[in-house]
Amino acid sequence: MSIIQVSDVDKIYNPETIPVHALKSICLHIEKGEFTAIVGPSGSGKTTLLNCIGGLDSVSSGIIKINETTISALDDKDLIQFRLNHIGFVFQAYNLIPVLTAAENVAFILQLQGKSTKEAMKKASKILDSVGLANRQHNRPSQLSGGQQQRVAVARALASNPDYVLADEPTANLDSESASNLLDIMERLNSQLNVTFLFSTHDERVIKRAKRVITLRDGALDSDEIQN
Amino acid sequence: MILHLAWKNIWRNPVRSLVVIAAVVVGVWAGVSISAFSNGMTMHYLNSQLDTYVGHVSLQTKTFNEERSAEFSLENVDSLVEFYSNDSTVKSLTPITLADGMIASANYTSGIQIRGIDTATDTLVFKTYQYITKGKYLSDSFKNQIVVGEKLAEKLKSGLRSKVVLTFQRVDGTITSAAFRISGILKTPNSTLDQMRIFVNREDLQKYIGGENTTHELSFRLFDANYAKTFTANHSPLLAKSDTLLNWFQIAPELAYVDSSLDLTLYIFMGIIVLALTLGILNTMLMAILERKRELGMLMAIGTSRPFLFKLIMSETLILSCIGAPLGLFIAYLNVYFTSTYGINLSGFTEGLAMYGMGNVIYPDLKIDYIIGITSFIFIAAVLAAIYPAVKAIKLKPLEAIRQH
Repeated sequence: MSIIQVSDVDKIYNPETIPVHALKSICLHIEKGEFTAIVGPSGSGKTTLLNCIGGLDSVSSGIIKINETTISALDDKDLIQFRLNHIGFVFQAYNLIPVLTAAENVAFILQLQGKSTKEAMKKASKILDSVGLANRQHNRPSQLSGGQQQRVAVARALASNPDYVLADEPTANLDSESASNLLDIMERLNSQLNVTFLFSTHDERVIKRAKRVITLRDGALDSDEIQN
Repeated sequence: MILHLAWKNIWRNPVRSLVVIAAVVVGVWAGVSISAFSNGMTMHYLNSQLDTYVGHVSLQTKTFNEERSAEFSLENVDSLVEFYSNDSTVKSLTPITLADGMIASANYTSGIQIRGIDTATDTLVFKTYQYITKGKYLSDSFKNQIVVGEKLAEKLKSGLRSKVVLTFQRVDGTITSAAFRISGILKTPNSTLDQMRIFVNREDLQKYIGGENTTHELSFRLFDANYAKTFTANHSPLLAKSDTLLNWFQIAPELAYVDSSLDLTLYIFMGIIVLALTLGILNTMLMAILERKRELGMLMAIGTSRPFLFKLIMSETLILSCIGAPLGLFIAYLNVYFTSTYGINLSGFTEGLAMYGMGNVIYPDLKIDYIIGITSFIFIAAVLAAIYPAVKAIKLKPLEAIRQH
């Protein structure tokens, strides 16, 4: 059963003035445990599609279903709650809370879910350990390298036990070694925990390691390939 | 969690947070200090007026109160004195004989009110004697002594032991004159009244006015000046029909007005301080929000609810206020303690202050009501100032906010 169902989705910016057709009749299904890359040239609609699947942007027409929930029909309040409990986000610029330590950043999302501070910190510590940051838990983002910060972001994304993780250009700000390390971790978590990863990228290193590659061109689905 | 994050957030830019704290400190300090100063000045003014000329309560005949004519004297003064002396709320009382007339020297003539005082009891009710700058206050030792104000003495071009002539109406309606010798010159905080009133021995005045027992007023000093209204309300039904009891609010309504307008003036002052403070906090918090737009967008993207963000921004402001307000109160307390002990010397403004009946040393006096009022004001201002930035924060669209650079 598909975890993400995108059915005939259109996204038009400025429909009243100068319409920009960012997504055109996109249809795709993502299964649980997939490790999928959405690729395409700049302006092809990768980030827009990811934002719509993440409930951060609305669709102009069509339906996006996550499991059995039509997120394109949820109101703002329900969408926030849905994102908290079902989606993990990894941003290109890491976007950690600068005043909190690595462990507190990860624990934050667990506390939002209602866990006690003690319980959240314990779990955060465990997850940070799984991304190789056991000894960096008490460091603030400014004391971590870009690769380490992105690993904290991955740990935060996984902490809430989401249905899937959306990563927008996760390696764009990283050097080769950090990018490779991050991909190793993401692959391992994908295979060990069966977490679904969906990321937009135009980084060849990421594309090569993706199990499925969806290509967009001018807002439309150009190709959808399974890689070995 | 909110408080933990709010606490960390306020220290991400220590200088800005310290500026907000300093603004709250200065606001509270200024508010409390101005209140204490104004209250001290007003109390000083009120007390000096009550202590020198007005008294707390006055018993007169109704006709004297209306017509101010010497013939309308109180009856049975001794029994009245005995009756009121036994009242537990009355600290002391003194009989006064009054006459409106003229004072003349070789150089100057002026209209004045002559107050014939009982030297034995006057000092128990009034503190006029404390304001003697030259010579002595009235005593029974010598006849026909007079105490005049410094300004009046200057106008009369008369000094100590100079002779002046008083002219006034007798109880029978005829006019009489008598020579008096200046035994003392005084300078009360009210230079205007000093020029209009002179003091003589009551027995001397009674002799010339033509009625040995003529007493126009019994002036009371109560243990609590604020009890005056209740006192008159309680005792008025017991009076003879011809008499009336007047409290200081009735005798000198301008003093009552000063007293009642103090709160209004202070709240206007506070309003201005609070407005400035509110705008300062509002500006700072708005800057803090705009700088963190991207982070706030990320927080909403990962699932932070809008009420959480609202509480977070409000908490940041309240924490800053909670640090600033007690600090401001503490500094204000030290300030008021010091100035109320040693006084604030405004001798550079003596002339101006004296015209309004005020002395040149002000002792700030702080009321607990003002402390509560000012602190509440500051907190309300902080909350109000935080609402707009907080609302602006929760109205952010996560996607647009994340795209901010």
